[in-house]
Parts: sequence; C-alpha cells; structure tokens
Amino acid sequence: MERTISEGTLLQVRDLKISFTTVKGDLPAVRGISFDIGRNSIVGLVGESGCGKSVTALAIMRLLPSNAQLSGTIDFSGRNIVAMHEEEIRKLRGSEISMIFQEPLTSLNPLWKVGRQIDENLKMHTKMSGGERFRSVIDIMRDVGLPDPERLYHKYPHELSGGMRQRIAIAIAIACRPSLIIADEPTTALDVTIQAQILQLLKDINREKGSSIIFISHNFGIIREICTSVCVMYAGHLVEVAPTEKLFCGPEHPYTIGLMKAIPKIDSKGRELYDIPGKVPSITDALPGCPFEPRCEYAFERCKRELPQFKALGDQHESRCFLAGELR
Amino acid sequence: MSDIILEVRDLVKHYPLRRTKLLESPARVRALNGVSFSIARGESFGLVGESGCGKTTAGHTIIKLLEPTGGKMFFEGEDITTIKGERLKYLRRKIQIIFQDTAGSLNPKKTVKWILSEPLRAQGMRSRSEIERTIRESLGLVDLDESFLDRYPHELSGGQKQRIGILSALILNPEFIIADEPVSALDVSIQAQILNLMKNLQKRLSLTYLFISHDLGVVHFFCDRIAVMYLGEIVEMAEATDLYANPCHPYTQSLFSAIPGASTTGQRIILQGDAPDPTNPPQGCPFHPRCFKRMEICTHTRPKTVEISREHSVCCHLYP
Repeated sequence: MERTISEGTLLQVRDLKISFTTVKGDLPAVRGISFDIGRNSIVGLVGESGCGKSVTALAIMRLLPSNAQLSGTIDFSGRNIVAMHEEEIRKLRGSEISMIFQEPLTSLNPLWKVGRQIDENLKMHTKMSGGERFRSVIDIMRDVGLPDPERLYHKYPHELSGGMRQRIAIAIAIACRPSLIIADEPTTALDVTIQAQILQLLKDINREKGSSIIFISHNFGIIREICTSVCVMYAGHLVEVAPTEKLFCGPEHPYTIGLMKAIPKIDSKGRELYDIPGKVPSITDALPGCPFEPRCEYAFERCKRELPQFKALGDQHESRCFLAGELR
Repeated sequence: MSDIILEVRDLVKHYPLRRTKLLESPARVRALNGVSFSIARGESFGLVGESGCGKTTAGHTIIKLLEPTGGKMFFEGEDITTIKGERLKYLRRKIQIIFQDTAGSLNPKKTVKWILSEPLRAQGMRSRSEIERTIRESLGLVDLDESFLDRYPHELSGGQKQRIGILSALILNPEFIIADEPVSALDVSIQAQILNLMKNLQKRLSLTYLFISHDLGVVHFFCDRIAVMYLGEIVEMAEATDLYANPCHPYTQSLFSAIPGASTTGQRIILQGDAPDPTNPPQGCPFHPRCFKRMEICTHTRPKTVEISREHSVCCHLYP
C-alpha cells in the first residue's frame, strides 16, 4: 500500500509489525499495518477484542512491555518513534502525544488529588511557575466542563463520578496541547448519557484546539458519531480504510459488512440477526491467506493461499479483499 | 393480558449503609422505590437504565438473592415474597439467571462438566450417570459438543463461556430466565450469535425472559415490552416498537437520542450532569435536576404514573 506523504499528515505508520516473545514462541499481535493520521482529524481504529488495536496505540506511545518486538516505522512530524531513545520519547509522551484510557479509575493515581495529577503533566513539560500552573490547571478543568474547578482540584479520584473522572483523564491528556491524542475506548465504562457528554467534549477539543485524535473502539455507532475516517482491523491486519460516511454507506470488506449487519438496529426487530459464523482466529494461528477467509461467505480458493493487497476504490476508500468493489 | 407468569407490585429495596452517627439511623441506598410490572408467559420483558438505576437489584430480588424491603412478588400466582426452604428451592428450578460477567460467574478451578452438574446436584439429582446423560443431551442446545466437557473456563472464548453460562441456567428446565446484561461483555459478532441463540431457545423451550441491559439497541431488538428505569423507579413502560416510535418521558427521549449513530440527522439531546446519589434522591421528580423540560411543579411534587395509551404508561408531569 503506497500513500504519498502530504502536508497535512501528522502521523504516518508504515508496515508496523508487533510480536510478543513468550514461552509459546513469538506471537504476532499486529501483522504489518500502514495508515496515516492527518492534522486536525479524528480517525477511528475499530475492531473486536484481540485484533491489535490497543497494541497499535501502545506502540505509538512506545508503552509496550519489554517482550514486545517492533518493526516498521511510525513517523510523527518527521521523527521515527520506533527508533527513538527513551529520553526523547519521554519528552514526547504527555506533551505532543497523549493518551486517554478506558477506565479512568485505574489510570488515575488514587493517592493524588486530581488537580495535582493534571499539574504533574505541566510540571514535566513546561517551565511555568507554580502559580501559573495552578491557574492553568483551573482553566483546563473548566475547558473540560468540570463545575467548580477550585473545589474539585482538591478531590481524590474516588470522590468523583465516572464521568467526572474521565473528564480529569481528558484534562491531563490535553494539558500540554498535544497535537495527537490517542483515546482507547474512552467511553466504554460510561453510561450512555455520560458517553454522549464525553464524545461531545472530544469533538470540541478537536475543533477548538486542533488536536488530532485516534479513537479506538469496538462500537461502530460511536465511530460514526465522532470520526472523520475509519480503519477497520481484523486479526492484526488492517482490512478496510475509508472516510466515515463512505464506510457506513458502502462497506467493501466482508468483515465490515458482516459486523454492520450484526448490530441490532431498529429495523432488524423481529428478524434473526446476522451473525458472522465461527470465531476470531487465535493469535497463535498461522494465517497464510486472508485472515478472514475461514469465516467469509465470499471466500474462494485464492483467499486460502494469498493475502489480498489493498484495492483502492476511490475517495480514499481502500479494502483488503480480492472482491472489493464487486461484493454487492 | 392473559397468563401472567410474574407479577411485581410496589417492590422496594433499600440497602442500609454503615452507621455514621450513633443516635441516627443509618443512611439508605434506595435502589428500588416501588417498582411494579407484570410479565406474560412467553414474553421478553426488557429493563433498561443506566448504572445504579436498580435494574440488577430488581433481577436479584426476584430470584431472591436479595430480600425485598417492601412490596410483593407473585410467580405463577403464588406469593413468593417471603418463601423459604423447599418452596424456594422449587422456585429456583423455575427461575434461573444468566450473569453478565461469565469469567466471574464460572468457577475457574472446575471443569465445564462440574459447572454444569452443580445445579443438578443442588436440586437433588444423585445418580452420576443421570447427571452425565442430562449434561450430554443438553450441550446441543447451545451448539457446543462433548469436547468442551473437560475444559476449564479459561480455555473457552467469551462467547463459549456465555453459552456455558446460558446452559447452566437452562439445565434445570426453567420457565423464566433473568438475563442480566448477557451480551454486554461480548464483541459485536459474538453478541449477535448469543442473541440469536437466546431467541431460538425461547421458541424451542417456551421461555420467558426478563432481559436487563443498558443497551437500548439490544433491548429494542430483543424484547416485546420495555420498562425504562431511573433512580429506582420505572419512568416509562411500553411495547418496544411503541416506545421507540413515541418515547414520552424526557429521560427515554434523551436515552434514545444518546445511542451513538442512531440518528445522524435528528436533534441530539445531551443531558447535563450525572445521575444523582441514590442515598439522597432529589425532591419531587427524581429526574428533574437533569431534565430539559423541567417545570416548577417537578421540583417539589412527585409525578404519578399515568397510562397514556394501551400498554404505555409514563411517570411525568407533562402527562397529567
């Protein structure tokens, strides 16, 4: 897959492979993926558990455990993250790239007041004085929609509700005005009405502060709501990349088509839901051909032997299927 | 409605908190505040709401894992509010529960065979060969085969674990299944498999479901009737299609509009703030602090539940 580096590209991932060395041998979690994140965009990384989406995010932050092996390049504004020294990546983390995790209760420090946790990021990456930082933290807390920030500054995470905690996590992430925010299932642990609030907040941050967001989720509804373009992952491979509306109006990979049919919709009432037969291949399975072949209703002989290349379908829509463009 | 299998009348459940002041009675979490509904045989009844609204407490109280603080429950016409001993054991054969977190509800140190035999032994089946036969015969119900019997839960995928969870509920041949968020922990493609399986089982075994979930999309797909709960109360109850076409309570309206991706054109209602603390619910209508249609009366007077059309009731001052 070749894409040209354009002016507007913030992050360029090329042929990224991640495997974990374990007693059972090398386990490939990500099997060679390439994608671009444009400036000021929100890109969704969607797939089911175990497809490698979170590992990809951790690789961009260089937060993988020591038994992980990385190859390929992750180019962030002209610098290759894969080859960076620990010192360099430390400067980048939290200031230029930051991350929001799924469960704020486990990602926040339970022993620190929340204000101090936001302050820590500023202290690490800026030269502001204590007083300036305090005022800055209060402003950031107000930006993420926390009421009465002067009072909340002195609260501990357990004293806040789930939605407020996630707002604190977001405040930490945006404190240094990063150009890239990675949000790994940031609303999965929250209720629908709170989820709607947080999605709105992330959209506002993207619009007002110009941060690009990689939004990781298994929920197509949320992806449609917030993202400008979408990358669909399956078993360590990228299988389809498209602008959001193109993907939802005309998916071109059998996996994406199947997933969309499997979501209960208003008009599916009273009918049997489509379910993709079989299950996701295990990380230990050798996959010589297309990873989706065993579950695919369109599969034919060639799919067993050969991994399809990306097929361009126009308007930045690409699908990794021999039959892309002819499926429906 | 004919042939009501379960009826719940003014069910109340309060959890006392730890005593903080010597002479004052301890604060209470008001998990259920007078919940009433009835479920007809063969129907799927959905209970939706956000975390802390009391939907799981309702499920656990019905199967008598919790003692109700007040109200009455009837199963097949029999008052089950205070039953004990043999009658309770019999009831538990008729009502079974499927849990959300199968990783937590299946004993990690036991094989699938042991897990499936436990309900049989608890109900007094002694003969080993009979237990074994029952298990082998029933595996097909959830599309598994005998190769699974000697595996441990950690050797199963999420979908397979949930199938075992479902089977251990079905193995006693119950009539009524409480499904407490049975698909929330599963991936979309597996979720569809489990929902289809549960639907098919319902037809084959003529089961009645009480389906508890926070996912309105799933509940709407699965259930015939839906009750929406907020802070321990049912705020709206209607047939699924009716509720979707014509949500009346502002909370239901906001829930439907908050389903991501559901409406790309319609007006999105984003509620402000969090759900209030159930130890100290607001005066008047419990929803009024977050309501976008709040009126003066809502702040001090509790609305009454009114029937606005057949099988559609709502608890809101907008519908006097």
